[in-house]
Amino acid sequence: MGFGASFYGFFVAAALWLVSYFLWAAAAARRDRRRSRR
Amino acid sequence: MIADSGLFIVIAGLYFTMVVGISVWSALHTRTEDDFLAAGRSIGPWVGGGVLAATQISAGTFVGTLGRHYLTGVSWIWIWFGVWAGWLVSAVLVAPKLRRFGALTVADYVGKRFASEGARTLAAALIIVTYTIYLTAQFQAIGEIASAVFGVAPLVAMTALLASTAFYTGVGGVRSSSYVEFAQTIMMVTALLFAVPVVIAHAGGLTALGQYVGSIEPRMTGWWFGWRELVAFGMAFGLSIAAAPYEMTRYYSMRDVATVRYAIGIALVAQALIGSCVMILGIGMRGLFPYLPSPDQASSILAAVVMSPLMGSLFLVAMVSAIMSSVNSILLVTGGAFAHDLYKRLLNPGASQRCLIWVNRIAIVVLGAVPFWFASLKLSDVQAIVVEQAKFIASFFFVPVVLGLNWRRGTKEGAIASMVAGFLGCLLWRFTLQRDFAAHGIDAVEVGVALSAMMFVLVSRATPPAPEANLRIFFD
Repeated sequence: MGFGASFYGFFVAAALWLVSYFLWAAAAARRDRRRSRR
Repeated sequence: MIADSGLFIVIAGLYFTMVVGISVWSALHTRTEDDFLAAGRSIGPWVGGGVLAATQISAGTFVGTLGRHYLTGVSWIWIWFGVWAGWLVSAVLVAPKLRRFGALTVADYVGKRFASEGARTLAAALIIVTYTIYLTAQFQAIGEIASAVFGVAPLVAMTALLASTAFYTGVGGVRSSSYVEFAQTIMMVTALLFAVPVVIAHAGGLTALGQYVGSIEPRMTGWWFGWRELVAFGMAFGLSIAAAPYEMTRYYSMRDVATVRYAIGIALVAQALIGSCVMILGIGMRGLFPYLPSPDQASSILAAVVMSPLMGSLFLVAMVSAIMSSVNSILLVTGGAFAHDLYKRLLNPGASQRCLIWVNRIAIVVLGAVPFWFASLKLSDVQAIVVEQAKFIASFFFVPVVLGLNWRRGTKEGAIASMVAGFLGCLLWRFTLQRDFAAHGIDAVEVGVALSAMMFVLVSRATPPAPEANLRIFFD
């Protein structure tokens, strides 16, 4: 038995987490800019 | 031996020359306490991200986490999601408000938010005590590396670590430590990324490595830790990261709120790379050296025996720099807590800027020397000490920070009761019922945070709210 779900699953989950975080950070920056223009 | 090689001396020499150069440059730009403790609010997202990553990545990662993977295999990697959940809470609920407030120390926040010098003093004192435990882990790690690789007595290595770190911390403050830590993160990521293919090649490929360590102990490639244990450890790290004083003080030094958010994202990427590499290296070392006397020795032996002199030297310098970056960040927090929150507030309110910078410097050296004794006792392995301090920080600080920044009704009496209950609750559980964790599944951090939250809400409800002028700073 080699590596299984605990190994490969981590990389998939980590990639999803990072992409989601940067999408949220970009949306929050856009929201801040809109607020400061008002 | 790698420690005697010319290459190691050249790489270490280049590294220390860079550290000294940045320190001297920063010292020339440091005139006020604001410069010393917040770098004049000038740090951008890339340097900020490097700083947050370097601060988080410590001896606990290079020595302790690598050793933990050596011993238990893959599943420890999942506690990173607890760490990252903590970063997310910090990015959403803590960092924006703290950066807009723009103070100098974390206890500054406590004092201003709850309009209480008592709460500020208590926060500063608890931070100093808990971070002394954290420093113990860093000194113990440098002792392990020194004896395994250099054949040097741990006390000599600890003294050298304190002298070099206190130098760049004390001379240039947050400005020098920020640029040094950015460089340290690049070094750590580079060294680990280069090390992984070397170890996998030595082990005969990834599949062969998995098959071999799985044959030593099947849980190595599956789930050594159950979900309850992973959640408890992850929570300890996550809750402590969400309100970690050494990270929070760095938010103050960044340009604005958007910079802080992007810096956290960049730190997450660096941590994902470092965490993944450390896991593979730990498991790889188990495949190559299945029966080391201590898992904490795996990283030193990797650098000294498995890697080429060039790669090993780079890896060793990266390990030392990981320890230095954490010691530096802790010393900035404890030195600042003493000078800014205790000395200036209680002992000498009229102190000049020059005097405060010097008190910061002296506090950094004195508070840095205290953990020597604890480290010489070797109370536990490095990773266990790091976990324990994380539990204490979370227990007494998560609620006053996260709830305090997002619930207007929190009062100074509530904050003080919350910190005392969280700290004592964690302490008492740790030394009594924690040993039956397998039976009840309740960790000291869960008890500490629950008690802290309960006291914060109940006592705040029963006492008058903080003055409106103080609340207006944190609530729109």
